[in-house]
Amino acid sequence: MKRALPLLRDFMAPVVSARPLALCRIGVAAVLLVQAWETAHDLMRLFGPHGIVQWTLGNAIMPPWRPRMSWLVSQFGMTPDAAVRLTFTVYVVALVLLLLGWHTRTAAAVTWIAHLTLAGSGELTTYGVQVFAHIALTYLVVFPAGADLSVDRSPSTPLTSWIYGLAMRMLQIHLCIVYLSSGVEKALGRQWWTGEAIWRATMQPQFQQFDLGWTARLPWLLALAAWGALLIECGYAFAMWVPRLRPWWVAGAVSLHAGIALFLGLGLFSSMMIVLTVSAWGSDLVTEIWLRLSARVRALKEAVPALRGPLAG
Amino acid sequence: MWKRNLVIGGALLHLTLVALGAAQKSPGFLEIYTDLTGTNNGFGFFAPRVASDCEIALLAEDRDGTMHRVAVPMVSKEGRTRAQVSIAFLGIEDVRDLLAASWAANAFAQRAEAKQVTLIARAYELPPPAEYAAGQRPAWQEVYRAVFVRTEVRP
Repeated sequence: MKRALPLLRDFMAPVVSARPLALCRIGVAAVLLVQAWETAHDLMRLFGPHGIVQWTLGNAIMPPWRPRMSWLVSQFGMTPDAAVRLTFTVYVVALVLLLLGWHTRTAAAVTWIAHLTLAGSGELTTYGVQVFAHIALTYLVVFPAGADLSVDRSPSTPLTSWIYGLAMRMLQIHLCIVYLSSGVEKALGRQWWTGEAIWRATMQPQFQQFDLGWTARLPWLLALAAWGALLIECGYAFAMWVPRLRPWWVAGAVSLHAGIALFLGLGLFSSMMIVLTVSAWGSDLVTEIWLRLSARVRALKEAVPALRGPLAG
Repeated sequence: MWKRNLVIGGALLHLTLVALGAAQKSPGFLEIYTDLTGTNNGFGFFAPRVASDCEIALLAEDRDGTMHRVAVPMVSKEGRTRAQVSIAFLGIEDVRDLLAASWAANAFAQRAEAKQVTLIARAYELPPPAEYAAGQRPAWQEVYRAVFVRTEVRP
């Protein structure tokens, strides 16, 4: 027991840099801002009192503790339209502050409440993006996500800490649970073994991006795609802990979501999942790519005057 | 060090709830916490099977008897995706009638002259790959129909 506790402590809260958590903050805020930009076009139709899911219905099925826009109407005497516009404006402003890392924790808390309020009032229209945004925002409220790549960052901010390590470990374990349960639930269905699941997903009118009717003649291709998805999802919880396999599984998960974006048109959901996986497991890779790109740009900048010289001469 | 141990203990409890939520076994007495933190979520996307697509048609009948099709009113791709999520909930009996009423109310708001709105939900019957390759083609099958009549509210 005396040995196990320090081991558990070192595993759960290793001292690491604040960079991965900052990348997660920036990525999540960026995806949610793009989503907000899209949603703004249908604001009242999605969240208004007489939208497709009317407030009376949303309030009836929502748990009583969830914040909702009808509270603003009853408590402050606002009109319903003003309550929707105010909540949405607050949400967008808080997201911008979260992206910049200015008063980061307050911005995360306000974003979290506003997101919950909008999601609640748009109950029965929420899907994967909102689910994972809610999860990510909860972590961004609890942990110091503004310690790096932020306006908040000051010389006194520690560059490394066990609290950053705990945040990333929680996100990593959370994602392992997500992918494993998703993979296992898929594996319980016959469609995922025969490849019919891929066929049905890509041929449904709501998801269909291309006419893939020709794949009906290539059942082995459908089966391979389905097995690939099962392998990535079920293997995620194990392979990510093996350093030699990790880059392959990060690439696999990114490819899986890129495929979902391309073939099912679920770009925002895919972007959110890619942000979470890359910030949780691939931030070293991102940093390395960034450093290489910076070095290339520097080298190019130095080379340009050298090239200009002989030409000018 | 005790503070760090306490925080790690809390983190482990939180992750236990995540695992229980994923298995659809969230403890009821922590319902508020699990709901507000998102630890009560299941993650069975497209699992264990991919359900049939669903679409709705909203037909408004004006007072003079003429029929009009009311469009599903979304402008953005995200709006259409979210509307589609709501339409898919018509497959769940517990909320079906209420959700249909909500859609009908939206249609009445779009068409003030309508005295009656009929909502028709259709499921997309997609043949398996082998049957599709043999020439069978997808078809829309009506699965639900509801009629809503505008009642005048007297002052």
